[in-house]
Amino acid sequence: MIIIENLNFGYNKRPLLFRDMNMQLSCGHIYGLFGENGAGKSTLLKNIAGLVYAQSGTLNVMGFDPKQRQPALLQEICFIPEEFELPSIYIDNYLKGTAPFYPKFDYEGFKSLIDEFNIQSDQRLNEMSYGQKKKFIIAFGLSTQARLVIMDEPTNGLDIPSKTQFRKIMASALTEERCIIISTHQVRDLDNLIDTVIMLNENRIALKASVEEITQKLCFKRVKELDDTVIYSETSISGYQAIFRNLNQQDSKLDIELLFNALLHESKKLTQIFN
Amino acid sequence: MNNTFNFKRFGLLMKRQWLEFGKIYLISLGIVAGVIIASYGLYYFRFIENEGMKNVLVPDLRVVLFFILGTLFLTIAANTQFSQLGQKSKLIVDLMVPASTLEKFLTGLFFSVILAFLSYLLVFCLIDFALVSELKNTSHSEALQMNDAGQLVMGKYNPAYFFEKNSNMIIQIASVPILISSLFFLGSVYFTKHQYVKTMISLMVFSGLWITFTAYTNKYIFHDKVISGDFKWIVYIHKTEWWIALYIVLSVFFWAITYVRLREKEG
Repeated sequence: MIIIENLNFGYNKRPLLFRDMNMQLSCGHIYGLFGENGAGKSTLLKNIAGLVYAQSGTLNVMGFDPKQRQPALLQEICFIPEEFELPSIYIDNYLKGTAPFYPKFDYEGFKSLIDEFNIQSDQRLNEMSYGQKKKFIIAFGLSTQARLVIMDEPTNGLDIPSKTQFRKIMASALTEERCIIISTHQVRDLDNLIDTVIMLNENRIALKASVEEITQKLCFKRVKELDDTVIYSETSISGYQAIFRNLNQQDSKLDIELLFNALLHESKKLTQIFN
Repeated sequence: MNNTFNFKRFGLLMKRQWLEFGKIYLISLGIVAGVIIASYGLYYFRFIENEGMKNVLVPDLRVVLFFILGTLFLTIAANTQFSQLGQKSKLIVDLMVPASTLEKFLTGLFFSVILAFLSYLLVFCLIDFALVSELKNTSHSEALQMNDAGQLVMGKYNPAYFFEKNSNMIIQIASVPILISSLFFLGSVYFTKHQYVKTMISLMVFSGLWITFTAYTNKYIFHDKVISGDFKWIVYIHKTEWWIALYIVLSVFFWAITYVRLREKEG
């Protein structure tokens, strides 16, 4: 669905953010995109959506060049930005004005999502709280039935029950034809949701692996003592949270936060394991 | 699917634009109508009914009002169209609407130039028609006026309707606000913050350069066809059509740049 080849991107007068980036993303997956502040998570999403233009390299999204911003592609992309402002109109009018651009828009689905998120449908959009706006735009975006769903920090501003609803809704939104990319700092919010982890570090994709592959190769454990097989560890109340090579094919639960920190500190070791 | 222009998508964009900005647009038009009525009320009615002004020529300030208010309205309308593209929070939502850049551009152009100009003209002429009709019926004042032959004569004040008197002039000067609005249209896309003020400053600099340029080129090209006043740079050109054509060409040029800038706009 998405093919990125030799992508070089940088903002004006600043060093390149991505150097010769290559990546392929397919339908039927929920990708979690992680990286430090300023690593370029939002920028990568914007490149994919055609919101910014790369210096060189090619981007192919569903057979289109996203920078052309062709309507045929735009109607297949649902982009939920981190910061956004909605017009001062009622939900009904927003639907009347914007939904017809999406030929597959699911009005019934939208209504049920709005109900699930507990949003009153007789409100002006600009009078909603930030969290409500976020839930509204997520509900609208998913109802467009777009094949590519891109979300930048979607859980920011959501309260705890809404985060649970969000996970549930996103899990049900994934179909064989859809590709979902979620960028977030709130790694716990994506627990049990994403099936592939993408980590950005030092101008490149430092890690792209499925949760299954990661847990096959690595073992996430809480231990009291460390041995030589440890790749990375952090002290915790009862000992250490550690990542080991999974030489004995043990089952363990992926700890994205720990993995991310490991990537920052033990990049070489992890690269050797995954390449 | 035609990814460059599609009438259905264009219609949807117009509808979307109207749903989002229609109310603000109508309120703005209402304010404009209020200013026109207030100006007529303050100036004409008070002036005409004042017996002490009998021997004073009643100048027709409607052209000035029409021009200044119209320019202000058109420039604000033009600047509003894409000014939200300067706000990141609104920009992404707008750029991701499934319509082509050409359709988005033409929608902006329709609202900022065609609709804004026609609605302004309609409001101005309707108010003028209503108030001048009232003035014709109720006023018995005499005033010094200029007749068709250009002579000053004393008689019952009988003002002409604005459109009746200035229809040629409207066509002639309409190109100027349209040119100015095309610059504000460009400014709304070009600048990311304080678009109106920045465009205004740019326009002042541009105007200064333009006046200087035209004054000297006029002197050079139309040497035997112009009447120069005491101020050597103020000239009156008989070939008004040339200027109209030039203003239209310049407007189209600025629209073209706006379109290119819109295509290049990044989120």
